[in-house]
Amino acid sequence: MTELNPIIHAPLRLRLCAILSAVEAAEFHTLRDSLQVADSVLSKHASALAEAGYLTTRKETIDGRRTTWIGLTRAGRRAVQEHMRALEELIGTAAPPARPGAR
Amino acid sequence: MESAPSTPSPADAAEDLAAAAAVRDAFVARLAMPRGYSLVTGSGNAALAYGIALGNSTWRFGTVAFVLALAVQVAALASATRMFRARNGASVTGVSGFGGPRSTRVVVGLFIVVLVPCIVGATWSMVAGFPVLSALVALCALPATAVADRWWMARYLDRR
Repeated sequence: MTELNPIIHAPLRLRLCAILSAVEAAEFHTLRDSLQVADSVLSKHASALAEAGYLTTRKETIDGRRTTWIGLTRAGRRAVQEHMRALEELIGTAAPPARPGAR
Repeated sequence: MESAPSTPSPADAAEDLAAAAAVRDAFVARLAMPRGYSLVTGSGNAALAYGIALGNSTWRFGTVAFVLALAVQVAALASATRMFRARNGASVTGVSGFGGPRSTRVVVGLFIVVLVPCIVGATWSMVAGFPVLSALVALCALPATAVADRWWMARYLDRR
């Protein structure tokens, strides 16, 4: 059975990773608004994921505005997929398929 | 280092996954092509097609025209990327990430279907001595790119 990843497991981190798995990168404020959290909360969780090598951040200036872009690394994408698979396996244990012929 | 999480119940795991999928789907659903996006990418493709045709012509400045067209194409792609990011606060790529390898094939396939016929048609017309027809064929890359952009975006949204 695939193991749960302790770094991704927190609900907010899982949601952050789920969003990032759908895009190449996303802007910090857009992520904050989508997740409906404070800057500091998102920053803290993003730092933890970056420390594990799952996220990369880069600063850019768009239309004179400084922005931070966050994206999953290759290892991060793999880790998110494995964690989600582990959750799906866990859900699968709750409802084992009925055996043919079983009453 | 974080401690191993206590194993959640299947119900909790289902709830976590559903919440993550919901927030991801909501995020992806608001992605859209910026106004004028296809005009920029299509113009770049049309310029490239005509530039290649000019580069293959006997015109003495053909090579210069080709290099200029290439520069226009690079600038158009950079501008389109900037527009998309400014509109959406996110960037997507057909070559890696969400779409995976299949998405790469879609992008390469679209390039072949949309751009290559325009390049071949424009070059053939130019070499055959029909520069106006060549320009018209190259211009076909503009609407073709617009259709391809929309098709790719719809496909991307479907894959979420």
